Amino acid sequence: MLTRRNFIGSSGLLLASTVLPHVSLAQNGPLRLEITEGVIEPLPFALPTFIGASDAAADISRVIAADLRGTGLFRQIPPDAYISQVTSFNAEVSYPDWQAINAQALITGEVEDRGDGNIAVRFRLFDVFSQAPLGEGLQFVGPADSWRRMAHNVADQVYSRITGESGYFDTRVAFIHEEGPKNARLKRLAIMDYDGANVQYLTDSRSLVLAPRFSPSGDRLLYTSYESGFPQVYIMDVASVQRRPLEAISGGNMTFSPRFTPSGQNVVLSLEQGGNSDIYGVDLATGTRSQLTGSPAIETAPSFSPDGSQIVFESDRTGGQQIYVMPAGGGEGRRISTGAGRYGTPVWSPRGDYIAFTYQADGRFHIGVMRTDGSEQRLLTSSFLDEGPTWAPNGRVIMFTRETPGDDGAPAVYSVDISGRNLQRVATPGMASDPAWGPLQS
Amino acid sequence: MMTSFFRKAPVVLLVSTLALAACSQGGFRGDGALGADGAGAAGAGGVNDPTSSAYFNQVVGDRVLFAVDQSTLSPEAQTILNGQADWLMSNPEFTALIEGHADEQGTREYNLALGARRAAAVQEYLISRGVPGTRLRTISYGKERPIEICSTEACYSQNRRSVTVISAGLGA
Amino acid sequence: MMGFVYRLICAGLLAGPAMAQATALDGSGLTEQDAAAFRTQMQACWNVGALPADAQDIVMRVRFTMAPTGVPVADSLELVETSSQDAAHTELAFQAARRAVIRCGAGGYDLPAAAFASWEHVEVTFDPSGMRVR
Repeated sequence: MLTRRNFIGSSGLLLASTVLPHVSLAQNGPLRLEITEGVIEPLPFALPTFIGASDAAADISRVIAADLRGTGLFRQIPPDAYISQVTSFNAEVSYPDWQAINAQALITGEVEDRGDGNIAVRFRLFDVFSQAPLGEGLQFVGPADSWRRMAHNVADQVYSRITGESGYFDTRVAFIHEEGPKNARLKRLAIMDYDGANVQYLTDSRSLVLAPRFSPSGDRLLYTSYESGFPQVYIMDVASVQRRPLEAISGGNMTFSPRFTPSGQNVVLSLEQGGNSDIYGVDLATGTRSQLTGSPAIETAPSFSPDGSQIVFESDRTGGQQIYVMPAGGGEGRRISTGAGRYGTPVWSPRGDYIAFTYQADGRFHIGVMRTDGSEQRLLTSSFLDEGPTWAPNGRVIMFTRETPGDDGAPAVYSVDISGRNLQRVATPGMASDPAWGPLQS
Repeated sequence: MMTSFFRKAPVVLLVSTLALAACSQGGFRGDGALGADGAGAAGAGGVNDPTSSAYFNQVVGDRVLFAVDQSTLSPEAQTILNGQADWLMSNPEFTALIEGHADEQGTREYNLALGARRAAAVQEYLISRGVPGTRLRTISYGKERPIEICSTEACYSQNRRSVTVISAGLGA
Repeated sequence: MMGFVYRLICAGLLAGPAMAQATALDGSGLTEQDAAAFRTQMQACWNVGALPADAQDIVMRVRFTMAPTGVPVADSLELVETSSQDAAHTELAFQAARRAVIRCGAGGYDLPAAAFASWEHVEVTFDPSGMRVR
């Protein structure tokens, strides 16, 4: 019965009679084989440099290829191996030539200078061995100086069509840029494209700043700053770089660890009073504050479920840091992390299926993920100091801070996918920490 | 600001090898505030002047240390804080900012909260010894301002600290 | 629940290689070694690396027809059954299976021509449950 319910044909209809093959093999029946051992390797693609006279064509091709390679899911076949040359965007694809070099996906495109400061980027994607286009050709038009975003848009489309997941290339990352020796670190709030391009500094180095968080639409940032002399949550409009303290809080009461609600209209944060940190909600429109936790323990690092109904946070109420989930309106919460060691900085996946966290045990730090009930925990990384996961908008890749030990210890931003594969350092102009991955730009 | 900080560094390294209670830290004014150095070692305002900040920092002792993840005050810490309280009671024109710090073995936000807990423990103790709460403020730096930079317990133990930074005439 | 489904499938299909052998003993000319080699050639092209995690769980059966040259007839590939209710993920997993069959067979699978009748129609179950990295 169970089998029947779970088996559907390609038409979507239930198959009642052919659920399990009968063991007897008729003389004329098909040859039946079972394959249980495949390969997990990057899918090879060919990307002939897009057609077009301007430098943009080569630049755009390069960025698309880098996006795809960077996922670890795709491998670029070097252009000098190509048998076919693509001389016209609308020319017939010579599939055998691409099959011969084992390209499984072929991406062709052209860049047209519109002459009015805009360029048009067109592309097509082909499944080489099925000898068919994969989806429709698409065109993006935009200012010539936003060619990187158009390249990321193409790569997002290719990624999405092949993997079935939405992409994450046309995104930005807020982070903390760091300079100076370990005992006199200067920190600045900065923002960049997800691949490290277009770095922009949003604060100077006069005030210590920590842990930015994006609003759901990417237009605002929350972060903690010592600008007033005391740590306090600030809100910044990214486009205008205008900032203000989130609340007028008297000195001595620290606010930190902020995060937007999924609606972007409210904020949760930690407020410290008399040495005790609890989680509060702050209504951005009215400034009204409501207390969500009330234990004498340290309660911090709140993060909403995507539907806004629950908050995951950390508390040391049982001694060490552990992860709890409570209703959005507050409450005791139920513990979801189990096992020895310390669990902190929980972040709910934008898809709602996992919670990422920092795990600390036996002098090592790890980034891990688990289901939202605490089951299926798995650690993705291990180092002297890994902390502070942030999700790609598709919920399939995580960035975090990795810091090296010792006198010259330095932080850097890394990414890893949720299966623990494809660990890599993210390009930043210098030392960097506390990444916050923004949404797909529209 | 950078230069004044660097000038202090060798002194600080030396201090870490001395017994805590006999701390002798030339002109150090707290780890978080990258402020100007204190006065010289002699004469009015110097370390021999019991009403000077140099005396407070070096003779009374401006800092106490904590065990891993803890904010409880050890007997040694209480001895130092008794001296701080007595000094603050005898020098009423001074206010104090109590900095709480953590070592690097923890997540950033938890360490901020832990630093606040440590600073508050010191503040409460000083109040219990008679110092008016209006003269005391706290701030947490979490793990953002280590004083020692190695990644071993020898350094961590010095970084898990609170530092009482006094200032004259700057009423709360 | 999924795990249970997998076990049922495995139980039902474990007899696969034995069936091939039985066929050979029946005089079709395809030996167990031939069938195993066929399977090995195909699985070298079955790449689940670019599939989303959710699609890497899908067990599916596909069938296709072979040309006498040992090359699969591309248009003949069809899905027989899948363990997934998710049409989008099933489609992605099917494309991966399809690429495996077609790509590794582009030059013709190494099969005894005399036994064409026994390998003209093929059904392959792709079961990635044992190779999941996580």
